[in-house]
Amino acid sequence: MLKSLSNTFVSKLLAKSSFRDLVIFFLLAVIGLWAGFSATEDSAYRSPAQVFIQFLNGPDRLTFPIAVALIAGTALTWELSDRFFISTRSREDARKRLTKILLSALVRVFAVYVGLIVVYSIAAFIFVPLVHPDAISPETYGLTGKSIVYLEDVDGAPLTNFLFHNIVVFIVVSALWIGFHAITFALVTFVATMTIHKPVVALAGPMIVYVVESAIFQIAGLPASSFLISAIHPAGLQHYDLKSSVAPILALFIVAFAASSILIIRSRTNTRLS
Amino acid sequence: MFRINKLTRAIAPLLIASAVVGAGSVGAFAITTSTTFNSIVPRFQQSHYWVYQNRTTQIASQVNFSTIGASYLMNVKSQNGANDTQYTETKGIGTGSNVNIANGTPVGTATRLIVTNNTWALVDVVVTGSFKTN
Repeated sequence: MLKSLSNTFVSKLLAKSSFRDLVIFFLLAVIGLWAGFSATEDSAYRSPAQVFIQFLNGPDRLTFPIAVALIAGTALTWELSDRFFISTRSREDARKRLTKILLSALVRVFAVYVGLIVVYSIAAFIFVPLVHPDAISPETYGLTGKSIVYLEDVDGAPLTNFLFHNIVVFIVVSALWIGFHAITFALVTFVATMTIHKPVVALAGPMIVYVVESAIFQIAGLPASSFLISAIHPAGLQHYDLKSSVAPILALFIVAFAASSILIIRSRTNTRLS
Repeated sequence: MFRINKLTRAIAPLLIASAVVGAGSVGAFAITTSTTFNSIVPRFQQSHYWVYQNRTTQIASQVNFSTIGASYLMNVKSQNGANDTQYTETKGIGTGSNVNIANGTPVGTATRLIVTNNTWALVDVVVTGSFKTN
């Protein structure tokens, strides 16, 4: 009795998108913070910006497409597999309902990843200098003077260019960067969920795109275009060319946006939804 | 014949002494001056180990990359050969600059440098340059 009650309670909670998102956000933040603090314990960095990038160079690079798919795709997957969508169609237009589901997914993935950037910024720019003051050592790199350190940072991680304005602008730009990538992969999730009947395969779609694209570009000797290197935060290469990172995500966004629009427009005649 | 033997006896100790001193100076040369490398750093942040050398000073080790394939940034740390202790890792090293690598290995003990690539590099990368374990 108690077991079935608790099971019902847990399933009801998990069915709520906001609760699911909160659980995923909490897990991502805990894993990312643990990995980041562990790395800074026994490493030397040239600047706090490099520490911030270290936090973003952890497990998030691999969990990103999975987490986005779970946040953006679970609700639609459940609706489609329970035939809930079809029974709702008598009360709500398919286009309206799909648009509502998609917009909600885009807002939620954006919010989760912007939240993570805020958490990592506080950790990297405030806590690490307090907890591990020896971790930031530009002298180790033979660098003297803030301007030299800044130039070195920009060379390997072009978004640090915005530190020239101030740290808040840099954090906002970093948040927009990861947020845009999360939105793009949420669109990919939507397209995969609408076109692939098996839910597990559909939710694995973004991961397949992410890993296959990364492998192709890295084998071709173009790591800046690889999502594994660029999606979370573009960093980790010498003389980093930002254009090489913008091009593939922009192309994917345009394709995924067009496909999502077509699927929504044609939803009234989609046999899967009727 | 007697002359040759006498000469050999006189020169042999000198030759042995100079060989010992010479070998010592070559050993020191290998540690405090640069050792060049041309290595393949494996994917997924797996370690590539450079040769063990005996420490002759207490100053930090140094590395200087001349080329790094596909422009990745490298991470380098040192290891104490006697007890496998690893010291502070220096991260995100590019080409063309001398970078210090913390090394707490005592004088006379073997040490080596360990180089790794970015965790998310899916390919092996060729690197060239030089290092000093000091």
